Amino acid sequence: MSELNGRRLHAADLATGSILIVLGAGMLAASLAMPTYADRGTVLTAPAIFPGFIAVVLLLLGALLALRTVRRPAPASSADGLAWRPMLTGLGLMTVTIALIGHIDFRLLLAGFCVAFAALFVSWRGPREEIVRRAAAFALVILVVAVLVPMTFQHVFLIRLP
Amino acid sequence: MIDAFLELASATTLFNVLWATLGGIVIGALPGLTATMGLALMTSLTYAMVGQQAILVLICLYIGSIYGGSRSAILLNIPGTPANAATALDGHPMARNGMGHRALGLATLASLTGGLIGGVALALIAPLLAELALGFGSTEYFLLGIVGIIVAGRMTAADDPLKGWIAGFLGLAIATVGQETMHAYPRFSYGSLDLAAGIALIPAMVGAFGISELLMSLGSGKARMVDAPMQATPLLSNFRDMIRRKVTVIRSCIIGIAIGVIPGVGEDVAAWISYGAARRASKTPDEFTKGSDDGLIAAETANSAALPSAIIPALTLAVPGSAPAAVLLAAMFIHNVRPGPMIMIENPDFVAAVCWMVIFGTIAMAVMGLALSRPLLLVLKVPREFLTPVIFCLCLLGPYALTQRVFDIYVVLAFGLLGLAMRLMRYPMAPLILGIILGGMVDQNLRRMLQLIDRDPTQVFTRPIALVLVAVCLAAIFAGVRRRPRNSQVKRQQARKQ
Repeated sequence: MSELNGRRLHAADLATGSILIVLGAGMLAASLAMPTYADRGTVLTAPAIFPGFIAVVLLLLGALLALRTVRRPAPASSADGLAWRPMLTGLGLMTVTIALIGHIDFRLLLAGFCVAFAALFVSWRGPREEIVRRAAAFALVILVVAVLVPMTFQHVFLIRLP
Repeated sequence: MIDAFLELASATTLFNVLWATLGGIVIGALPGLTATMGLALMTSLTYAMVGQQAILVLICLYIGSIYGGSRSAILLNIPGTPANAATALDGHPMARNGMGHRALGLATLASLTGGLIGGVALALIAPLLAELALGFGSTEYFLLGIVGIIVAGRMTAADDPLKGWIAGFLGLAIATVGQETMHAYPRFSYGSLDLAAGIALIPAMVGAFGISELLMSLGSGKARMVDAPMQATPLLSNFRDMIRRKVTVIRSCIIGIAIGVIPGVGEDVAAWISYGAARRASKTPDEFTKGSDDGLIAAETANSAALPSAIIPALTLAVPGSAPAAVLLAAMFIHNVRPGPMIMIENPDFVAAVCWMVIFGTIAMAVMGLALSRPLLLVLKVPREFLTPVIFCLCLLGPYALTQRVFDIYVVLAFGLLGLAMRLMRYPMAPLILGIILGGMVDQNLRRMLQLIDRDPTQVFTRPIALVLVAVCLAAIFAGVRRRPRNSQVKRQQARKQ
């Protein structure tokens, strides 16, 4: 399984229900604070109408989810089979890369992402020939990611890189 | 029609059809690059071309890109264009189970059938359909959007429709961010210019599908996209499967043509409605989202049938049926073609030529699609450690290319996180994206409808199409609510037995 289940899913559903209630209430409050533009004609075209409608629906759906979760007993805990550590490491690496956009040359940044990814997620143990083969394959990946793809976007699709 | 064919049949036409369709397939297969963007880019490159050849290039590119989006949807679970989001639901599970070759083949044949039948519809019933589509007012558009969300939520989360509806309405909530169109009031932007411009669909879609898929794959610890041995499926076997599912094919064609002709709705909504209809009609609805042939065929046939159909109102009313058709309409004006109600009288040969262009493009798409199936399958054999950086790079550059705003890259990451959380908590992703797609349409038409009916809700019930849509909406909600107790009873009985 690659999803939450058992007690964890039960807790997550309760949290989601609560978040939706807060989100719906906040959205409704923000909608009520929006201008009605009554002076321009009818209030029925006010910008708050649609977000207000969605806020009420989200409130109802959140309440339904929370109520349903509370009414059901929490099941016994069960493992979700997810490797959280590599997933969170990958997320961290992606976040840092995106945060650095605009501060470092984009091609260099992509090359750096590939090197860091290779260092963190690729096994560099084994026979020498296997390591050389893997390193060569990764050099090709860096060439594609940091040179060929940006060049295609820049010169074929006429995009200015970030 | 024969005169138009003879006028078009030349080596130049063949050359233009081939390169434009291939270009479209590549653009469509790259996550984030849409048919609209491809057409907009190509329009500027066709200024120097002869009018008819320029329109031919643009139509072939349009066909190629809508089809190309199915390649990345099936192989990577990242829809290349919004029209292929429904394709990923069953196409990717098929690829994961080692049936990638079969999924690519079936999608190609479904697109071929949808495109050809849509092309014939364009030739036969263009003016009639366009007139019917004008019967859709703001009430019908609003209800169509709500029905889309309810039905998509119900069918993508069959075990728990509540989660499907939450995802759909969350998508609609996200669509409210930014400047609205009636009074230009910046909703939920808190002084930020980036937020005032709104949350764009493509970065949201690429993040929700692409980044979350990459993170899930790191979490699942799988070495390759596909662990199961890959089976090659002969083309003849795919043909037999298509014939066996002729009812799904015909239904999807009708839905695709009918939805495509409605101004501003487009191929993506057609694919979803067709997918929903196939699921409701299926004897084995539980197979949907797990690799169902019917689901894949329904989505791909409908989006391809909707494509020529979306050109119908563009040609006959000068009102585009979809966003790429709007760019195509602009290109027609640039090349001195005057679409509108008089086109059938002033320039009937051009309408016939457009039908042939659609047919040529569809045939080229199928030939190239089938030829490229085997090389494309190699993607599934590449170890994830090598594929992940390449996909990540495309996920950043594709959405950025549309508006060239770094903010869109932040949106990709934010939706990657949201998508990951939703996957972990078993929320379907598709209604979220459909909500963002339909948000603008639902918003505008809700307010127009309220103004038109002027506090008298009974007026909604005087419109037959609106009544049908209300009935479909209520039936979907009722079916979703009713299913829960039955499931709970089964689970309770199982628990008692244990």
